[in-house]
Amino acid sequence: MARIPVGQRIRKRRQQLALSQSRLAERVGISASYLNLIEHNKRSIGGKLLHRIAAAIDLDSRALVGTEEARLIAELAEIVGDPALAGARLGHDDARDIVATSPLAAHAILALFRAYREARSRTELIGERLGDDSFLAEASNQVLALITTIHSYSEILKDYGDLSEGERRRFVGTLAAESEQLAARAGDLFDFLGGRGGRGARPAPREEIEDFISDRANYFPRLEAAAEEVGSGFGPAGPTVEALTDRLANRHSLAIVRHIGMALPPNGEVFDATTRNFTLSDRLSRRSVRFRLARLLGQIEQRTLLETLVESAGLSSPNAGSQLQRALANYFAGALLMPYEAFRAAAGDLRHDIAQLGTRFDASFEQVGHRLATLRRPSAEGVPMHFMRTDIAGHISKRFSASGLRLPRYGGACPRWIVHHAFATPGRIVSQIVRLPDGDRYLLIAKAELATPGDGPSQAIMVGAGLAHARRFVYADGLDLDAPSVAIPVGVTCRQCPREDCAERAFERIELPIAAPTIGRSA
Amino acid sequence: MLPADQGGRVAKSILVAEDERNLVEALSFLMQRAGYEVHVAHDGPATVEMVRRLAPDLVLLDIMLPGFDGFEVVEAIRRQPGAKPPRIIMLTAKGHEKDRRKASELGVDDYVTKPFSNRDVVERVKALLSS
Repeated sequence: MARIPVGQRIRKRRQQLALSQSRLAERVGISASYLNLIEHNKRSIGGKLLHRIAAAIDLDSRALVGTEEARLIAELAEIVGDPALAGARLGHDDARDIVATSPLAAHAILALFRAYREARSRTELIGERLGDDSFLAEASNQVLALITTIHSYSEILKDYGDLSEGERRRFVGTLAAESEQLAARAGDLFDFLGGRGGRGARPAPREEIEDFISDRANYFPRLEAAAEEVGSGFGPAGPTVEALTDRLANRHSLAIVRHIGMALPPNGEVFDATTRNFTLSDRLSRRSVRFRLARLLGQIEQRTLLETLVESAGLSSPNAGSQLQRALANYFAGALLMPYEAFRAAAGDLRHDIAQLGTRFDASFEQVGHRLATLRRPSAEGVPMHFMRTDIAGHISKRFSASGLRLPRYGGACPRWIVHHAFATPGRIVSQIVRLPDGDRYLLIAKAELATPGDGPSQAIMVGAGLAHARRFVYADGLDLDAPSVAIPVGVTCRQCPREDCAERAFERIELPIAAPTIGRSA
Repeated sequence: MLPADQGGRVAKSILVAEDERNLVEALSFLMQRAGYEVHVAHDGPATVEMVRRLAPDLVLLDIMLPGFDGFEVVEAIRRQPGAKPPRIIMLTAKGHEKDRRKASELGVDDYVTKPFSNRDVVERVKALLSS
């Protein structure tokens, strides 16, 4: 029978008593170096020496030796009770035999069991997440109901040859309608689960649009050229609200109506093609009005170009198509109000002071931030930046990144990102320097605006760039960019973040591959 | 819904308790063609009420009616005093093992998993109503 290693227990107990190795060794009558060997399990002990040591550290020697063995037996006996081992029908005696014959084997069994249990609880966690997710449960129920109906109706049509014309028409009609519903629901389900395997993923409209824009590096030369041309038609004052209103009226017989009251949709505008009226809530800011007029101008005057671009995107639904059309019209508006070269030069001169850029171009933080992320003209690029917009709950409604920072695709972003904290100081521009788990560092700049009736919900915008460019931003002034304490350790999303010491962790990390068990004599 | 002519015998009656309208139509069609008189209920309370009032021979009961657990409905039906209680076939969803176990614990006469085969449902109904 192998000796049970007790060195560790001796060392622990000695340290508890604040006894030095030399003191204990002296008491026991051995050299300190020999005691050291014992403590590191390089020498086994028994008999009288064991008793003397046990007495010196005030432990029953049986407890000293027996404890570890007894503990091992107890642990092993516990796991034989697990349903997974029910087939093996091991008992307490078997556990004792295993420990007596081979403690190593006992440790191995325990390590394997721990690994299995961890894997099992991770699977349960994922299963729970999937099962609890109300979207998934709801979608599954809907799909099942549709399949049940379709199956039953198909069988009826097949098996009952004597249906009346009316019955047949009714059943076939319902069958067709339910099949269409099924296609849509199943599509939603696959979107959620992330793909159809061989047939490739069918993302949600917003994702499709973000992918398209990202593929084009958020730079659309034809829209830029169109904006320049249209812009040159405005006088030296540029496209002011008045100039835009005049152009819409003179060239397109459109009237701009400022509406008092809350009867407008949440986005604060209504376009009526029949009356040729574009009604805007009177609660909108001047910058918001100006931008919306510019966008409307784009939608009208650049319709063919927009349609061509949308078609080139090859989107999977008309809904995605109309959303993209609006996004591109917004791009045009930004390009019209903040002409490329003038804006890029100003961004450099003003060192990306977004407030000052907003003043110079009469544009909001979001408009300026978004324009900054579009400065990707080859040979005339601005700083590569990212842009993100979230609501107060952290849901991301717009994202683009050229800075290298990965913005989360699903769910919310790391709770430490400044974009969330901006809501605590609405209206103020705040910034931070962050360090990702892989060591990359970024400058993040954010501003939140609380909800204004008629102009949208509470939102925060976050832009930023890699730290290499930080010197070109006023927001990094006065910071020692090289000092490690300046960068806040962050991740991208909790679910994928390896940081183990984060007080803000909101979700357990999902690690699907099962970790190898560590076999050894860990306590 | 008129009972089919069965050579003078009174047709047995079936209550279809299901909130999915399209499914109701399919089940009603199948039961009528099989020669039964069909009644329909779309939620828990209506089901219990119609069992009390009409005393159907069998209830095809969906496990999840609006706001109600099909099991609650079963218990409510069983609690009703007087006339012979109807046979009950529950419609459960695939993949919900514990529903099936609970159904047999409650003494439900049979269950059918969705999506089901029409022939299967009709055969089970016939089996229960011929005895």
